[in-house]
Amino acid sequence: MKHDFMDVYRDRKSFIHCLDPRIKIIAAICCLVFFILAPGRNLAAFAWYAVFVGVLMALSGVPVSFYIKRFASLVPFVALIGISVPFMHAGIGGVRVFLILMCRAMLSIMLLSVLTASTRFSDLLKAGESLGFPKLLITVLSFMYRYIFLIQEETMLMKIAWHSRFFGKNTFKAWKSLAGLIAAMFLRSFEKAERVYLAMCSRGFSGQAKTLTRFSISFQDILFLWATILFLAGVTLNGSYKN
Amino acid sequence: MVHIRIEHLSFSYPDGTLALNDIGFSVTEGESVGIIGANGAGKTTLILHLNGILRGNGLVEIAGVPVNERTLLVVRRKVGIVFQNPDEQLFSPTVYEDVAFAPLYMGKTAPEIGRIVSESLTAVGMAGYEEKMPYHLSVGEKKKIAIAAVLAQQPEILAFDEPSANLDPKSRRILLNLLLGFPHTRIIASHDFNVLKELCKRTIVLKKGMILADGLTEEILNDAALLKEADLL
Repeated sequence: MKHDFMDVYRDRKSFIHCLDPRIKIIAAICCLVFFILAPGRNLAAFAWYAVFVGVLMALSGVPVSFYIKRFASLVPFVALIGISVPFMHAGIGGVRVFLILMCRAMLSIMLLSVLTASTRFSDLLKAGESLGFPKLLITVLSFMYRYIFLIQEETMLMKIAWHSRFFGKNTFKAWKSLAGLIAAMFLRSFEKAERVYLAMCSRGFSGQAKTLTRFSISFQDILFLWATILFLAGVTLNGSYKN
Repeated sequence: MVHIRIEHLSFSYPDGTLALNDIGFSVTEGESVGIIGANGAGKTTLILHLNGILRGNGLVEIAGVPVNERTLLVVRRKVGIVFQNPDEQLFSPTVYEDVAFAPLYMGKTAPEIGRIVSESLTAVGMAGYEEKMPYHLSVGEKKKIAIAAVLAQQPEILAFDEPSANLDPKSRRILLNLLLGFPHTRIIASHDFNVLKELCKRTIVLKKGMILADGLTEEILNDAALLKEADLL
């Protein structure tokens, strides 16, 4: 079974990898705020944001193919959500709003991809906890992280079972049984997750996110954060002033 | 010294199935006790009572500490449970993180954790596997990592649920040799008579949540009538 679809590039030693996860989260939140609040007419700012995210991607040392795959898998969902936008505005204005929405979404997806690809998920959780994120949210995410492997494994097993019984015939019955199979998969995953939770409890799990990594903020981290904020603010204000 | 004391323990699952019915026994320090019984006899349920994962009616006492809500963390440090399916026990992205899980939650420092992980992996012959993903290992290797993860708790008592399940003969042999070397008090629930013969002087036979017999392993496993009554033959 292959489960290395998460944290694949966590052990690289790039500039972005070496930043303190707390600084990365704060910087990412700042970026998202600028991406979302930048005026739609300020197209130059969006171009600069894209350059900025591109630089971060290059500095992360993660292959571009990884970002493209992640991008391709997430963009359809955003497009689906925004598909009604062009019809809500008269004339070309609706299309423009849709394109700006897509721009914001794509920038956010790429930025968060850099964040998650360059940081262990467990470190992100611990950083989130130390930044005061709600404990319940952290606990839910930490369980999601542990259980996502189980769901993937159950999916693989069920897929094998399904294929072995339908001999490749693409009939309505086969697809109907797939629905039952998916339900069974979630039930099996639920039961397995319960047993994993028991195993975690028996080894002292207390509900808190704990990791082996010790965080420390360096001069480099502070410099990165300020550079990010100043760049984004400069780009946004400059474009807005001109307009 | 009595390490495990169980008195009048009964437990029913939420669906009403009576899994343990007024059982009682004690185990002294360093003793190795086998638990046998047919499927559904209550072996796993009993094992899960040893560190308070399940809590029924009656007394469960570990090294003099009664198992209850307040003593859970203390008891869980004393009892390490190795589950039947290692996939359910190994939940971290790397072997190192999995073995380090218990010491991390016990509040050990990073250097201490590093030392404990190294010692635990060496004890099961898996040094050098630290950065591997547990999911990519063979069943035998997973079992050994699961044991290392439990050893990292530094428990006084080790409880195994079907330790030889799904193992090929060679892996089974390696595992048996490993278990023979442990000085801990051991509780081993198994269907594998050979495992019990090699590891346990004493065996308890369970049937439908009740103790059918408690005695020398050699005598119990040679008593065909008893084994038949326990639905094991």
